Amino acid sequence: MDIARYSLTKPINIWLMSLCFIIGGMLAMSKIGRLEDPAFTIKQAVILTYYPGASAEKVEKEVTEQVETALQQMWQLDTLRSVSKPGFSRVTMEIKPNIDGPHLPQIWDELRKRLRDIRHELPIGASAPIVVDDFGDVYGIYYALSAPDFSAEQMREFSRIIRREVLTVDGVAKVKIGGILEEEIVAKIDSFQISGLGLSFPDIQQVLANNLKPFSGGRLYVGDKQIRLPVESATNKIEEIENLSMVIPGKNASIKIKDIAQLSIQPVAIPKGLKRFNGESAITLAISAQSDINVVDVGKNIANKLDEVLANLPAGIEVANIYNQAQVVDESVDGFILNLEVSVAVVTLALCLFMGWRSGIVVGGTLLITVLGTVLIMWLYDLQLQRISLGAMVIAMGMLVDNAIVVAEGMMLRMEKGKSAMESASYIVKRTQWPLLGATIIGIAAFSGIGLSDDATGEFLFSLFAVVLISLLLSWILAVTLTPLLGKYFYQVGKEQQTASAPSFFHRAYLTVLGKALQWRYVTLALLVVITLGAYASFGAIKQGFFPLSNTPVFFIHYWGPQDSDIRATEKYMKQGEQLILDTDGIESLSTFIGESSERFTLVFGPELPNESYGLFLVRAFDASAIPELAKTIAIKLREANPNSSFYPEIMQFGPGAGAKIQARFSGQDPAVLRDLAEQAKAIYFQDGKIRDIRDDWREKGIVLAPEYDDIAAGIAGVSRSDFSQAIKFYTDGLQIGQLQDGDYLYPIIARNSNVTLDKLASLKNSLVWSSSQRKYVPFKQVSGEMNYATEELLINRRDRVRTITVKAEAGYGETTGEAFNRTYQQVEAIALPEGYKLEWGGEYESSRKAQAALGQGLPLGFLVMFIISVLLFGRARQPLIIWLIVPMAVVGVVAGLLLADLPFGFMSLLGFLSLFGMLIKNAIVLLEEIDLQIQEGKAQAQAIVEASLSRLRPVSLAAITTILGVMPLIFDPFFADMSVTIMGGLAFATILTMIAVPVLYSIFYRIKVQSTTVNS
Amino acid sequence: MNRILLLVLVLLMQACSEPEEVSKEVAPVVVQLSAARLTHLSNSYQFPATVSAVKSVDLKFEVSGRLIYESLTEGSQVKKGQVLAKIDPAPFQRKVDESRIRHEDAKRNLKRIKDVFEKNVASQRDYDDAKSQYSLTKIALAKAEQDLSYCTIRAPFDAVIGARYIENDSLIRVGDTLANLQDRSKLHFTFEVPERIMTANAGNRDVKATAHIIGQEDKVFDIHYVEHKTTPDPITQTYGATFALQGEATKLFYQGSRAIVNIKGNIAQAQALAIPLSALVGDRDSGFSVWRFDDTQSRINKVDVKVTDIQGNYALIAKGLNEGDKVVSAAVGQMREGLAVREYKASY
Repeated sequence: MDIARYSLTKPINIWLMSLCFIIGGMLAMSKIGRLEDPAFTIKQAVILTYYPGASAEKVEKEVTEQVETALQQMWQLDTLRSVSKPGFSRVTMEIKPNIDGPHLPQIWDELRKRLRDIRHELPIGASAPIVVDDFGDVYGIYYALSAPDFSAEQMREFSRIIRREVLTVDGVAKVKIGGILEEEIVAKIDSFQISGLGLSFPDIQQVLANNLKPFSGGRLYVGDKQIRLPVESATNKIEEIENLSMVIPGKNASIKIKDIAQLSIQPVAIPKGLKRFNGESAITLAISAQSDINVVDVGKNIANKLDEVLANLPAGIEVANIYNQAQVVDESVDGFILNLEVSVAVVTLALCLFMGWRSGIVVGGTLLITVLGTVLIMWLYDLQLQRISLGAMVIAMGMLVDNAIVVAEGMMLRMEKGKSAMESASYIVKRTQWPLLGATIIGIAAFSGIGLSDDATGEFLFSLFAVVLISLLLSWILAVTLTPLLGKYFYQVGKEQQTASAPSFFHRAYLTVLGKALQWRYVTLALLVVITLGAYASFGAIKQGFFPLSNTPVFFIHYWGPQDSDIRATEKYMKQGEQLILDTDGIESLSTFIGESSERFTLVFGPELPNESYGLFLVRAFDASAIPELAKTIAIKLREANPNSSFYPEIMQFGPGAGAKIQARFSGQDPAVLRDLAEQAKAIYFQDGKIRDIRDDWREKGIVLAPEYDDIAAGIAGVSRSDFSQAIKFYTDGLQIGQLQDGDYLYPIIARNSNVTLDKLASLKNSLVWSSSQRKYVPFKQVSGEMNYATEELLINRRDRVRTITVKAEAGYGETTGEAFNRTYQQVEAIALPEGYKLEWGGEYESSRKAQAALGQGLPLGFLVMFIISVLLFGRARQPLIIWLIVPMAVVGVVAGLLLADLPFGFMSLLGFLSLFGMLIKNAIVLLEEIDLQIQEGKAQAQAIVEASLSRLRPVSLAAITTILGVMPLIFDPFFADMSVTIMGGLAFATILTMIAVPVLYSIFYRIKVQSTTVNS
Repeated sequence: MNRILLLVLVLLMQACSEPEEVSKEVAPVVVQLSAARLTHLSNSYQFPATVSAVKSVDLKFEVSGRLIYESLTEGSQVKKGQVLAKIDPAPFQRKVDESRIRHEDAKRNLKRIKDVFEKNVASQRDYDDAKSQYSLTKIALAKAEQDLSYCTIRAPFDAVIGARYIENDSLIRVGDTLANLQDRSKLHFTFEVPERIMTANAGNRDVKATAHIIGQEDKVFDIHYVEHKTTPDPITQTYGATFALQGEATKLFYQGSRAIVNIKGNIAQAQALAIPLSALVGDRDSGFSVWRFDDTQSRINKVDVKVTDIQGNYALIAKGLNEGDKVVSAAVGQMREGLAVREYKASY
């Protein structure tokens, strides 16, 4: 098969193909979907069950346990986590990672069915379990609306309008409004007054219920027509209620509600969550775009729509961006495209410099068309431009040029020797097409482990494999078709039978070195082994990372007050902290979330559960590089200002953040033992001195005050438990006595005690309880004895149905998590665990372990494919052996590079490492093939080794130099920095390996003695 | 081979530098300490009470007739003896006149018969009849005079007119209530005391009691014990207690208004230790602990305590601490056993 000859004889076909790629690629570039992260389903569902009034332990036993049991039987289940809080159970179900996204709705259906089945097993008073399955939705476009001059009701109205309008924008899937100030109607009632009148709460509830509910009216049949007779229902809020009258029991008199109650509309006393922006109360608008769509366009449309809507609303509404995925995507994709252009330019320039402008154009042109073609195919296959696929292109870059360089260089040399273009092209392509294809497939196979792994990592990284596959195959096709064609136009035929030009200084230097190396081949080999071992030994000195820090100039500070603190206290302290942060230099904006976390605005951000003692500062800085320092100083300042609470800074990273980086999970039955174990682990971390932000997830216990219910006295007085609990509610946080619908808003009507001479606890003790059976008021003290003070668990965390306490910590400033972990893990593991208790590691250790395990599952297969291909290519055993012996040596350059640049070896470096294998193997294969070919052609073995090596010197080093220069711009991109250093360092050394180690090993394996005279001749 | 490679790779990623065996002495943490203080225990109670006058009298006419005069402005004060109402006296006057004539007639008749009897002309019987007639008419006259006097009603004591039930010119029957008079020299506050408090304070009269009207929390008056019932209310099982208010202040209260009575008992100088609520942490079970400061070693230890009550922001401790013991009262969640600490002192 003579591909080159075909393409040279029928150039029109090749041009047609190229034209398709160029035009199609440009078209695709403008139309291809752009996302921040690959569309990825978070395979989680959350089951919420309310059980008002129950303690955490009761909730755990009666609700959480039942729900967990029901879920346990589902085979799709991977992990089960639960939190039981007073009055509330939350179970998080994680589905096996190898179940694909499209199957999820079916699983959630099954889940709902199972939960329906256990409905009757749940205790009376517990709500039906609510399944939240859109937990993983990303609300990437996140606005804050502040309008300090408008009332809460107006704000509600505005946000309703805005939501309605934004939902009409194409590509918008969901709009979530947060931070709306909830309101309630408060009826302040003097309990002693109504007790004097003999009125009771049930009476008032009855009156409200009978007057405020909607009425249906009736209908008349008159003259064949139907006439509706509606009954007007209450329309204006407070007046309506105030003027309701009720009959005083036992008297012939009635009294109006306003005579016994003072009504007012107020913000709810215990808000669910508050949002603030730059120190002002705000409403947040979280918008999620449909998947597989160009987020950038949607973002623009939303912004336009918002402008349009705001133009019709009164002035004074400020809209600000908390996070704008569209912008981030736009910037990162643009930034990448710039990088890509720079890379292509750098490669072309480098080629021009080393091989002359003609080769520059030939290879550069092929490269450009390869990239455009790749984008076209990506678009056709519904792959998006996002972090991973863009990264893949960069990784593939080095290998992309390789194929073209080999062909172009060989063709140029041959043409210089006076051969015709057709002959040279045919010769070189025939000579190299199979080795190149094999090497290309090996390069692809290196990534198959990642792309084809059957779990979350595979799903997340699938586009990486796909892009590598597409671009590498394309580069091979173009290298054997387009490159010869371009070569034909640009390369000139040299003088016939031109004698080989005098070797350059570079060649001579190489020859000298190679000669020495071959002469002292065992010494060389020993030297290589020593260097390699040395590199492995010093690998430990490299910082271990997982995912690099994000370049979005956003960081978080988590606030945690004592677990039993009230949301109003959290609000107070958060507002103090807010001022402190806003006064710091370098802050662009600050969003404050109180009582609950922000929405999941980027895939890698995992929101905290709602918790009254929790708050989140989302700080946007002007400069991403200043963030680590900024986060540290702000956290220290906040801690100084408020030692009662904890502040944990978190810097966004690429890749999934699993909360705290160091996590030790102790599981077992007895909470006291678990707390003891956690305390021991915490003590170890505190002792370390460097590790910071040490805490556990059961947090502080809370105070309970249980008023005793005296059965006997209450029985005589006819006070039921319901009467008793109503009285307690009334005297503390308020008793709901009704609700009022106003438009689309439902106001609860809350009765509170207006007698404020005593504090709430004292007034409860001195209160009156209505006896509904005797219709009489009885002193509280009569039916309640002691107040019992105790502490209780507020958060019972379980993992796979076993109570689990997690000790969390962060590595100290200026060290990686790996370092901190390694320093302490032995001590923590040395903690004596009682029978039935166990320790597990979570955090970064677990997630990197998982990611590596996933890779580990796929990698062997990939390596097997690579190995088999390398054997098939040669049909012999020694050549593949040589290749696989030098592969481990590649680590030398990587270690040296990372140590020099002081970068961690993380996930991206691992990917770079894999691509390095591909390049190294390819170079080695082509060289070995060349040696074999030359020997077949009848050259002396020793001479063949030297000459083949010499002939490969230029393409190999050129490819290396161009690749190194190509990835160089990426050093400044935090996401790719460690990967680019890995490739640069690794490739530099790999070139030496190929050029020295391969000939040396070949001579050793085939027992060929190479004299220095052979080299010099 | 590839497996070995993978293994090496994975091992590499886990490779670690040797853990350094450095145990640095951590600088003492600055903490806020609070001393446990003795506070007097006073058990105070609050009751809703009903105000009543010490004496409340309904005025009634003992005769029937048309009302011709009344001075019964509700809420007005009247002096003892002041005329409050009159019934038309004319019929009663006539009755008196008639009775008087009869009586005078009987008197004259008696005199005549007596003279005749003394001369033994009249019989003993006639004389006895005349005597009886005389006595009877005398009684009739007295009755008529009394009825006449009943036409005018006077205030029986210094009082306040609580309510008026009749109108002028209306016809009054015997037994109709004209008005209600209240003696405001004292006011009674009656309220129901729960059994528990009753038994806990049995025999204890050393209480300080104050009262105020609902809605007037600023006007508080001292009241004193008067009496209490010893049989409970059959339904609520509570005991009625009565306290009284004397003096000018009585004018500010009205009968039947709702008042709040505060009672403070001084139970034999009972004392308890109080520590800030924020110092409490949970212990292993469901009780409480605090971080006690050991000033000889400048370290803190966990001590179990028993909480008996919460007053304001303070918790009352029954056992576990001594007076003057210092406990950590801020950031208690971040403390741990044996931690070296330094007391925070506000710098001026």
